Amino acid sequence: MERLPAYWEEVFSPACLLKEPLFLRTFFQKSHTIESAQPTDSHWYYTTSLPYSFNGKEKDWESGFHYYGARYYWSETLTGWLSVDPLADKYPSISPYAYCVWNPVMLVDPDGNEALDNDDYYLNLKNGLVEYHEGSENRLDEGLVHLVGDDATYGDVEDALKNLGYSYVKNHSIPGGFIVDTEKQLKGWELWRKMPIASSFFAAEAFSCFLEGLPLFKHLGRRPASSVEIQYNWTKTAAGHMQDPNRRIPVSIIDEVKKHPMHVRPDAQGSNALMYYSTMTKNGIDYNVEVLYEQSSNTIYHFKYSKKALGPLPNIE
Amino acid sequence: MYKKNDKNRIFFYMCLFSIGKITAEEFCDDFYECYDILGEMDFSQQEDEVLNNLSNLYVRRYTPYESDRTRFPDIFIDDIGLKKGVDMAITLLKSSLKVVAQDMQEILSLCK
Repeated sequence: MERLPAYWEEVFSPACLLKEPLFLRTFFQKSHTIESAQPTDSHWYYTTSLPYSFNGKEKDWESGFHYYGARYYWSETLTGWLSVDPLADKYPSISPYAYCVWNPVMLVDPDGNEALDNDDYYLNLKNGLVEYHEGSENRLDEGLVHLVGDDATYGDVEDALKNLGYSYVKNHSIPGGFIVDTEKQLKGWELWRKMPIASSFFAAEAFSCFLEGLPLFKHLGRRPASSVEIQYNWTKTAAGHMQDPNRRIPVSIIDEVKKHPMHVRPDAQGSNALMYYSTMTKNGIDYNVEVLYEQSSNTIYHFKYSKKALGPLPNIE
Repeated sequence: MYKKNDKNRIFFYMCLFSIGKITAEEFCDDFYECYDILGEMDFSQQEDEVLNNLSNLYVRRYTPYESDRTRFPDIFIDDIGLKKGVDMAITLLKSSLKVVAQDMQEILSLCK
């Protein structure tokens, strides 16, 4: 009981409330009391303090195992099942102890019997990533935009992003495979959540407005600088281009090009900066991208997108 | 007036800038939109090569901000530097420019 005040402090800290407001709502809906919280040395302080943690399954605090119905799951060391798969004969090439065929990002196993991939693809407006969630419609409260069904291919996901008019870069090294610019829609979503919404009709209208390019919120004026934008220094020229809708590239995409470039070359003009090259899609059209960035001064000197050849990248047909 | 997907528009604007009828900013904005963003023009290989060099070595480096040019002289150029690049491209494209429309010929006659 001595740790309870500290627990409350952590749960209601601004950082925690900002990070997981929906989780806290769920917490209270389930009527868990603080007396049921168990101390733990895990860093997931506001999830492991509850009896239901990993994938919402009950955790035995003495053993550290999660009970799934058919089998126990051990998250802390093995990250797999403790007993053999009841359907092991059906999948001879897969370890009978493997949780979700070692692919928990794309598959789910609700009861320990069989890995399923029946969740649909969603775009998470909060982090710009393509994720896998239950359902087949937009999930307003959570900022999830439905993209395509569970049987979709990688190309179908890309088509859905194009049809919705998102700018994105492909990145196979991250779950979901895309970094999507959701900055505008995120602002709209955040505003929508703060609005005193009188009717469900208005709520649906507001949500569809920000999905379709924010006409409802255009009067709000100049977009505030994002945290990513603030972390770079910009030349006056580059900052000016960011204000020009014809030249602007979302900062999240500039950031991604710099972090995961297809090519990096010294600046042809002989400065200390490096030119980072990649490709991106805007309004369904592919473009080459270049970003001239100097690490020592953390400055973005120049950026540009073009259908024409840029550095080692050929023309886009 | 030439449409934005007509390659003569680019040649026309190059000539207009070269003789001082439009500003560097007007030229750069139009060139970027027509050549880099639309990119639908049917250039010959030589034309594309010349215009790609103009785009990457001159147009993208032009800035109207004196402070940027002073702080980063290796990276940015001014109107004079841009005009030098445009004039060089016009010289290289003279053979292409000969086959364009009459109004272009008139503008071209004013270029060096």
